[in-house]
Amino acid sequence: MSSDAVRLFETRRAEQIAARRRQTALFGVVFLAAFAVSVVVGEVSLERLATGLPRFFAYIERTLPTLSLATLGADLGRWFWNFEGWLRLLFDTILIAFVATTLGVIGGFLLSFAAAKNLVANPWIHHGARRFLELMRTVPELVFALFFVFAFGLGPMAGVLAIALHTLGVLGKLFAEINENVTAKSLDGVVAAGASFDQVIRFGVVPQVLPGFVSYTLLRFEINVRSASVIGFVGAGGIGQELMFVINQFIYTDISAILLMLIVTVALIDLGCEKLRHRLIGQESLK
Amino acid sequence: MLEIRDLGRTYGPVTALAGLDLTVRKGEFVGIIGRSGAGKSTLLRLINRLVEPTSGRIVFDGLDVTALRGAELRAWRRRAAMIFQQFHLIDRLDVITNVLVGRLSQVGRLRTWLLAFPPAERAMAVEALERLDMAERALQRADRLSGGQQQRVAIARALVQEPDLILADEPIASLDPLSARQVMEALARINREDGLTVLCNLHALDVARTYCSRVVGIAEGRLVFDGPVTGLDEATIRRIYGDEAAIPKDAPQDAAA
Repeated sequence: MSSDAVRLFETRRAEQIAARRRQTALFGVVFLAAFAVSVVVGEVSLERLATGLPRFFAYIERTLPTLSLATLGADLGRWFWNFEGWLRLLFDTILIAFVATTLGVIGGFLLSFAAAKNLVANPWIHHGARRFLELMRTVPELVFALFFVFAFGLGPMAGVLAIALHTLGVLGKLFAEINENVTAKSLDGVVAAGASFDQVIRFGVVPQVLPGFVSYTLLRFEINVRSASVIGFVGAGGIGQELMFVINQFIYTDISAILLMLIVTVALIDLGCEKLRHRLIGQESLK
Repeated sequence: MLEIRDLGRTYGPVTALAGLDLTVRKGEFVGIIGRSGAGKSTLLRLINRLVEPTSGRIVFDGLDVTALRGAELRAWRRRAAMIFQQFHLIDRLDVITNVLVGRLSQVGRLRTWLLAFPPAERAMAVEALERLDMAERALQRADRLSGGQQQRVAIARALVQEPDLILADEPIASLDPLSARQVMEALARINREDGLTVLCNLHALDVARTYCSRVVGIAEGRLVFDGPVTGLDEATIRRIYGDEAAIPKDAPQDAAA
């Protein structure tokens, strides 16, 4: 009798493996086809890579200043001639990212509960919230920024709004997925005590999801600092606007100076956020 | 008085509860016994309205519980406190806040969101913990406690709801024997001292014998016994637990397995 059971199990297992193998094969074929089409349509060619690469390095070389050991101080001074001005613009950029992240987190936080299938029984609400979040993150930040520059004029305001909307879309979706992984146990415990919907969220959901929310928020802040520096290209304030200007005016050494400052800043923020994230997640104070 | 009439619940083709009638008077300690899947949990969850009935009515002191919506439903849930087999505490919150969950329906929204419960509410929660010998653990995180301790916290949460009913769904099924006794004795004391009506799902017959003035047997979603513990004879036990359950007279607790 047990051998019957074993045989039945083995048959089912084999079927399962076969089914999975078919699926994997199908996926592989689709992937390869998509890749091949992309290479052709995207005009990716090794030949062009070979001819283009030297030009890429030539451009970089041209942006580098001539430094000599004897006059190093003066050379550096000339390279970073606008150090304070750029620093102020970098600070603006970080502020854009900070304000945008804050606004996006607030919006994403609120919408994430509406978008969680396990929390909202009404399909209209959670589908509606999902689609809205989707729209917000599908539209690229640069496109939003272009609209807002048109509407509100040049400057950081457009950048803040553009990044905030995109952040809302991304974080709302990520938060909603964390919400959907909440255990039903703590929900039942709170619902059964007669709590209202928002109280169920506050007690049954928030304590469980907060570490995840914090982690994604800090990660998003890092990303937003980078976005904020690019978004200036369309006139939405910050260091990006200056970078675009010097690139267009062929002020080569300024390009490398600004890029260098940008890279150092982003690296510092990455390091800081990572430290903060690890400390916060281990902590008990998040409720 | 809790009056249950023709109460039924189906899940697709599966019938969890099939037209159950039951009347419970105030202050009774009713043990509901039956095998896993007999419909005991469904019954308690229907009373708290965590599960919606597919037929029948529940009436409590003239209030049609099955018709309640929104704020009225939440007010009813406060009056019908649940205790769960897996405790259902919020692991990442401390013990006192877990107990204060029982006060949510009585405290303003903003305060609850900020976890800023008034001192009087906190005092009430601590006193409830004190009754269960758990006051010293009030500021520890819930997941630091043992199972028995967690269940006592859950009972404190139920107490501060100031309920009319306590619905305990297998409260001791995940506990060691000593913790189980502490939890059952706490429930019995609350029943005695506060005059609270207790409905308690149990696997084990001997526990029902010790604590319950009245036993209700459920098998396959139907009521098959209702009466004092002394009325349970071999034939009835077989009806409740099924023919396969051979229950030696001297060791009735084997019925739990």
